[in-house]
Amino acid sequence: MLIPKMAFRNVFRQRRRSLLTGLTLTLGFVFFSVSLGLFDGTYGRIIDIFTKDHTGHIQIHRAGYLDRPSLYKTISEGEDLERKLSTIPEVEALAPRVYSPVLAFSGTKTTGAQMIGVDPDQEPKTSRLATKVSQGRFFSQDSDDEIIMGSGLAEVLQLRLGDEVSLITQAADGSIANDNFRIIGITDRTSSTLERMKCYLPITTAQAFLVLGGRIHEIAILLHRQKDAQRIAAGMVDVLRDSSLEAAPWQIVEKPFYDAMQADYKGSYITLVIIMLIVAIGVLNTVLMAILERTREFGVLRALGTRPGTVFFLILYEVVFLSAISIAIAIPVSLSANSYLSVHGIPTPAIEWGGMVFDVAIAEVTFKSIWLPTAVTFFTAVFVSIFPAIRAARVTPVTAMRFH
Amino acid sequence: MWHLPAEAEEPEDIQVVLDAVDRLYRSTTSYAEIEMAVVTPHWERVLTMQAWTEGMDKTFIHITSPKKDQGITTLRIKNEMWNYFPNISKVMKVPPSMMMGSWMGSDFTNDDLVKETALLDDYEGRMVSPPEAKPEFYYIELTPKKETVTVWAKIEIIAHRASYIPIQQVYYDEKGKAMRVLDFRDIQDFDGRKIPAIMEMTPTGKPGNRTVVKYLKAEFDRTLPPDIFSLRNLQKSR
Amino acid sequence: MFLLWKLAWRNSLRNKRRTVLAGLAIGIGLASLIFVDALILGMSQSMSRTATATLLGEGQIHCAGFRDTLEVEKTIVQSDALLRALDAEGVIEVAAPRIVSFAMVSSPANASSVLLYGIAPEREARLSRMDEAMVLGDYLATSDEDRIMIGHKLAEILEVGVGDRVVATLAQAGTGDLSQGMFRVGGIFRFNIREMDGELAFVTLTRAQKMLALGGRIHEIAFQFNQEMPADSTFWNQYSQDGNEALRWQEILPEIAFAIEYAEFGILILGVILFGIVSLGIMNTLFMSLYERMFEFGVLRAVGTRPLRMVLMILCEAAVLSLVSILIGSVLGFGLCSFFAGHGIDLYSGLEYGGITLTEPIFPVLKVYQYYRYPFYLFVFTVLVGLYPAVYAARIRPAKAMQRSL
Repeated sequence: MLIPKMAFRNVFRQRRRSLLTGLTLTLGFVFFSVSLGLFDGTYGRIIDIFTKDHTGHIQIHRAGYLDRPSLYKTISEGEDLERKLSTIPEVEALAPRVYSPVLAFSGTKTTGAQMIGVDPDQEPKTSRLATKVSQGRFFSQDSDDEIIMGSGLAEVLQLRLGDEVSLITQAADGSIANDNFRIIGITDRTSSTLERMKCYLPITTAQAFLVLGGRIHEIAILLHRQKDAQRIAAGMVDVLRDSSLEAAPWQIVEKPFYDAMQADYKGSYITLVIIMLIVAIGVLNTVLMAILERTREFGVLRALGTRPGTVFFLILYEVVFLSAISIAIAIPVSLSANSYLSVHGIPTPAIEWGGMVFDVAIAEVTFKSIWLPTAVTFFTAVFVSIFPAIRAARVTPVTAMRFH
Repeated sequence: MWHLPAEAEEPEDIQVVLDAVDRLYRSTTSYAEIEMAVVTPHWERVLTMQAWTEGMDKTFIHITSPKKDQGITTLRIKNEMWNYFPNISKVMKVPPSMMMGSWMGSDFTNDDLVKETALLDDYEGRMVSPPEAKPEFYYIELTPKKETVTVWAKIEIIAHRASYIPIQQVYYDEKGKAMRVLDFRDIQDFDGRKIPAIMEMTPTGKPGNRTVVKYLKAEFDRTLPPDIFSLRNLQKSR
Repeated sequence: MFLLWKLAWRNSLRNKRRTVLAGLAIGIGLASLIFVDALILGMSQSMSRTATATLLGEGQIHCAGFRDTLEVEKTIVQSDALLRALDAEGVIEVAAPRIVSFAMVSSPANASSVLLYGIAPEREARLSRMDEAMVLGDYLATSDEDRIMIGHKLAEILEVGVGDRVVATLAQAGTGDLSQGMFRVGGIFRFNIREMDGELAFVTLTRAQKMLALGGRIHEIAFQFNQEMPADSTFWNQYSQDGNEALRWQEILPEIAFAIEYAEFGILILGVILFGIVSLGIMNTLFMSLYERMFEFGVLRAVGTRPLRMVLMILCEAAVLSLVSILIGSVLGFGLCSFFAGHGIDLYSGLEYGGITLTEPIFPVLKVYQYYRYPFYLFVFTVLVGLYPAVYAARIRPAKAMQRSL
């Protein structure tokens, strides 16, 4: 019990030294923790923005629809299913959808497009579609002839708000679906080229147009946290199996995006490893110096008869206490830093991608941003101290006291 | 696959047969009432329509039933095609992207309607004698001429020797795989001509799909109403 | 002043272990900075190369408004003159004229919507990497007017192989009349980019012009420089006249440019963090060496050394430390970069991002500026950080200092 007590007192006795070493440990920890927070936060945000755009976190389809979409691969009794799904606590919102390729024409111009039937109430809660309407408005109620056009489509057909457009396609019963619609909204120009060639109808109108009855193609689900997607989707397998439906988390629906994020994330590991290395070396430097500085002191101790083992453990305990104190200070500092950055973020060069503007790097307060720096800082400090501690313990008193 | 002929018949016979097939349902003018049944794995429909033709270049079709499609009209003049949809009162010119699409959901493409390729002009014909050949039929193998624009590498026709009426047309791709089979049957007398009343198109790659065209009535070389092959006529309410 | 230097050196060498250790720690920080900079350069170059070499080119000219709707009639104004001018430009490596149009390509099995390009094969081969992307059959020759090149995904959808026939259907300029042309698949390519492999088809320029009834007009000129892209706008303005517009590739595919910018910003952040941590090491080292010699400093002050000289002395020691670190760091950094410049870091290969696929490992790019810019920052930074201990040393009270024992 003597040694730990001594070690503890030593830490406070050598104020300057402890302060410098402790400062290195604390600041290294905080830097590392904030880096982790920023990385996770930025990726989390990108994923959030991307999935909230249209995809959602989980999508439900008829088995096989994702591989090869078809008008005929539908979900029947969608409403029943929606009710069941909304009872899941992690679900924030869900929206049913209907898809069909169509021919859109006006006057002499004809072009192919994709038509999506959306629910005027559910869709704004589940995706950003409503906010993307830059001219006109979103659907307010199921009006029979309202249509929202992608800006690219409107340009090709040379149509404006209030104009009429005709849609033709093959309905689910084989007949030729054809109808006129009035453009009540146009989406903004910043979306990707693919996005701009889409047009939207209220879902009931789309279902009538395509003679689908009450059937739909997709239910898009928004969760409170995108991280739950894979878990929840896996959990749905049983519920859906009977109706030959399948649930796919966004990682599968948007596989190329997911792959790119993964690779990017892995790439950022390199940066993190470098940061970790720097922190470790900083710790190494200060701890090593602190021990070496006191060689004379240890020499005296040994001359007084202290056993080598005691000296060794004394040093080690000092490092342990100092690390613990530094980390204890660092944790609240990192937490507040990450919290602050999770709200305000760090301004970055503005990037426009897929219609969204990223101009700030947001941090995220995660468990990892606490335990990983703790582990690294603590173990590095202790590990780094072992060798010099051994040397200090084995030093011969005479040599040590001559040291300088 | 059919084998090389042991002996080739005279070219004149081939020309005559091809000409007859080309002109099967056409004449200087024609009028017909047709019932088309389309079968797919997801639905079955029967359309009835009236069709007028003039020579090889002009076709006008008016759908009379079912109610949902009633009044839809199609006009073809040479290479161009238009559809009219009464429901929305709009005329749409069929764009290139739709040319290979099916006409009214059937197994015939818009292109089929437009091209109605003159076999005589666009293909080289050759008589062949397959092992299962029956004496009452001609077996002709057609390969497209160099300038002919078509996806088919080969078309085979089986026709009655006596009347030149075809009983089957098979469309092959480059690898010799049969992609579409067109069967003709139920030869009847229409306005003094003997024509198969039923044409059935079966795409081999899509099981459960076929289209059966049945001629209910046909008249030839009568005087047609004036201006029938015009855009204005497309939109005339009936 | 020279005396101070000598003193500083000797002082640093007195405790070699400490100096080397500190130098090592700081040097590794410098090496990391150099390495990450080289890595990011390599990545941005790689992305840039891939983006521009596969069809994009480093710049493109179109009729203003063409890119939005791809209307057949929107052809480049006076394309012949433009092409001649570009060919005459010394900075342009190659300029390739193109026709771009939507079309349907059909086979016996299927029909698919594509973007049809009419290209001038030899020019195109020098610009993009098309000829290297062929996996089956042959790259187009100028005389192959009835050959078409399609991607392997398209070939799968259409169920065709080399030599098979397909029909391309499109609408002519002006009238919108149907134009159908028959082609035989001359070659199948593989870019490993979904859109390119499934939705693009290539025929000769002259054939495309005939099918579209465009005469000698074209839609697009893509070009590549034989040196770094001109930084200012004169070049671009010159070719954006008469209703045409000349755009840099970054304006056509902004996502890639942004990704690169973002990465470059990342290195800035990294630099800040690194320097933050390194500063602690510097201060620690300087202070420790200071405390060891407390007695000496007391004596110096007692003897009358001016505070300023004390400051300078410490600063010189900081400078020495800095130089040692720079030496170690530069050597380490160079070694690291050289090693990987040979092997490359294979992180992303096969990955698609923003419409391009990174198909090669990333090679760090060694640049001279890395070995004077970052060391310079480090030097200045170290000396600045050294101010704190320096001022501390200057304000030592002789009596107190000489009191310290043990």
